[in-house]
Amino acid sequence: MTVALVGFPNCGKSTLFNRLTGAHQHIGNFPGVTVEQKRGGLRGHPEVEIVDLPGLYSLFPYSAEEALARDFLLENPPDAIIQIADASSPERHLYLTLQLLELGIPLVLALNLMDEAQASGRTYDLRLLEERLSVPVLPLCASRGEGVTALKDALLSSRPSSPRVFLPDDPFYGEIGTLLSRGAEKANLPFPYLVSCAVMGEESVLRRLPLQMEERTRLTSLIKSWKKDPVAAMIQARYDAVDALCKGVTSPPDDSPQQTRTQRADRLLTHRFLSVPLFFAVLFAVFFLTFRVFGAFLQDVLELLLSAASDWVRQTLEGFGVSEVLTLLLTDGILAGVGGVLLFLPTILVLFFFLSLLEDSGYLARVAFVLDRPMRRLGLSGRALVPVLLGFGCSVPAILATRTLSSRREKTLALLLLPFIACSAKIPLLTLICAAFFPKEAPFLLLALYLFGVLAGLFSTAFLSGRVLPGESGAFLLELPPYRLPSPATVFLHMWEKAKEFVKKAFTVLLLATIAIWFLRSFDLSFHLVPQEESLLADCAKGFAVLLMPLGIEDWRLAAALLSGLSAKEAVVSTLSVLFGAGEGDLARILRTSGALPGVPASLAFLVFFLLYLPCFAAMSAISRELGKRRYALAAFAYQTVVAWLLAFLVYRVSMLFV
Amino acid sequence: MKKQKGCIYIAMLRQLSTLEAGRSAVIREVGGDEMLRRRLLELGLLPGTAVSVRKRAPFGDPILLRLRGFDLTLRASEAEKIRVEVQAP
Repeated sequence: MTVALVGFPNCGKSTLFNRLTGAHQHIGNFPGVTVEQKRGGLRGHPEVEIVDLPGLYSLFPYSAEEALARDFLLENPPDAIIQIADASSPERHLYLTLQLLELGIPLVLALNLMDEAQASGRTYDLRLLEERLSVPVLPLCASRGEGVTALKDALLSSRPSSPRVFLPDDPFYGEIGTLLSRGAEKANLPFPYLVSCAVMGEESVLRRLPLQMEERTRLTSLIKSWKKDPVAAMIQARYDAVDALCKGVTSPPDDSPQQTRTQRADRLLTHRFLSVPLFFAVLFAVFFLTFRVFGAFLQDVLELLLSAASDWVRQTLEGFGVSEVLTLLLTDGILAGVGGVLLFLPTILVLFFFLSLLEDSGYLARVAFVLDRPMRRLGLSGRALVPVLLGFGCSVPAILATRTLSSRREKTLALLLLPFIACSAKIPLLTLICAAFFPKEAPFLLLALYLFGVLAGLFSTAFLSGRVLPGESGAFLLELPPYRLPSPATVFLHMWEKAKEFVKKAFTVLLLATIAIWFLRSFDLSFHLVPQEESLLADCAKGFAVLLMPLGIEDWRLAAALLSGLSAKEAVVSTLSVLFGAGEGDLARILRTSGALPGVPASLAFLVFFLLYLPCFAAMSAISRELGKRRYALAAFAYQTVVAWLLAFLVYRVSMLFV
Repeated sequence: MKKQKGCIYIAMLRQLSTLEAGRSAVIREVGGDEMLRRRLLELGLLPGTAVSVRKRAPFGDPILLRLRGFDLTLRASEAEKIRVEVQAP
């Protein structure tokens, strides 16, 4: 049994999904956080599969992700739908309910945020609504898990149903129906929904019908003769039906306390003069708290623990007389490599904590609103800021979030912008190099690098939108959700998820990369244990290093590290640990004294090249998938590499003038 | 809201984009390109719906609307396709 979770963007779908499946998934207070179908078994009933669909306002899509959700419902009709609706504005959600009922799939309606709605003075007669809709209607408070059990029960006892239409009787619908009936049978699509598609001009669905030219023309003339404005007439008829449904069931209250709170907060956060400085202050505070306050402190604690663990392992292994190669692999390879990266887990978690706070509270949507105009100068809309800010965390979800952008062109531009944004996986190396070569200026340099990435990305976007992809950004329709304090449970789950993901990555991708690097640098082609200068890795990396020489990066070990960074950005640090033999002692100190990066210009160029060069494989494959054609993806990656090289070269040359 | 009749009513129509922040109005006509228009209507910007302009973004555009109990942003270039009848302040 498959059950689809359907609802508006940002009405608690993901929270409910987590409650139903026990799988935890990112939850955001920005319209459109679910950008891919997430699946999971129903808790206690593994045979029931829950699919979390992207949010949609209507079955007549306006964005790419809405089309994804609608097409899923048509092409893989689930056995049941749970529609999750916001109890504080039922009228708009019931509009979608009526469309869903036309699909003929058993439906359960869950009214979320019931507590909030009742607190604002709204009352409900759910029995009456159930009777009128003849589907189960249940109150829910997804964030606290109230009503989830009842919802589960209703779901398991749902019966097959036939499509139902809540539109006034009109012979017109019948006539359209007759015209479409032959094609509908062949295409196996729900009949009433097809009628709606015909009236609403939903070509993407009508195209699936084997209609003859003559039938087409008759359809068009029939719809034209019905009403002057058939689209508006049908939408109006649905809203009238919703009003009739709501009569006696519920009535809108006066302004709720939450709304007053939201308006008060908006007065400041979208203030004419203060909003922009506030946004930058917030960003600055996030970085300051992440890198200087919490991250740095937690990192020190972890460092002590890890070095104690490493010593213990080494002593134990020596005590047991384990072979030298194995001891070396474990301590020099794995512990130095993976451990060196695990060190940065706290910093990354703290950054994710703040990013999710910005997103879940509803603040990001305001930022999109405030900065839409300046973003439009770059050919983007304010909406594009959401993937960009998410990109500071991890590029992959950010890449998926570009699906919420309304035009193809804007999505492409955003995808090309994202690799410029320093993702959290770059934190380990950036921090390391800054600490090694610029111990005094490290915090400022780190901030400057983040800014440099953003500015380079914005300039690149301005260039691309002017020369390569000219045009206007799409419409800016964005619902601003009321401010909500994310529940501690939600935030904690999010952190926990990230931590799990990171540790998993450390012990899979990074571990493999580390072992591979260790082997490649220990052996030559004929598998003899050789000094690393003569190893296989050195041979390969020296070729790449030639290209980096104009940037002042001459040591092949740095080139090898950059190459390994394609598997995951953290791998650059683990590779450096292996190649510079940081098994015991401080990698930063070893790097500084090794002379691998002579002088300030070369260090800066290395930082800039690392900041901007190709993203990791996971991100590249996501970008390639979203761009659609491999040709475009290759062009994008070539562009990214050239820009990174040129800017690093520029930084190298310019800083030479000052040193 | 009371419906007024005749040419007086037509003469009072204004573009939604010209409304000052804080003013309320009733939607009378929704225009614009087909897809956008359909979406606006589906979001509930139907003729006869009350709408108010909550504020303008700091850079003057987009504008923040309130209707049917929710907040929606719209650029001036989109809002000018919507004609409204202004209510007394």
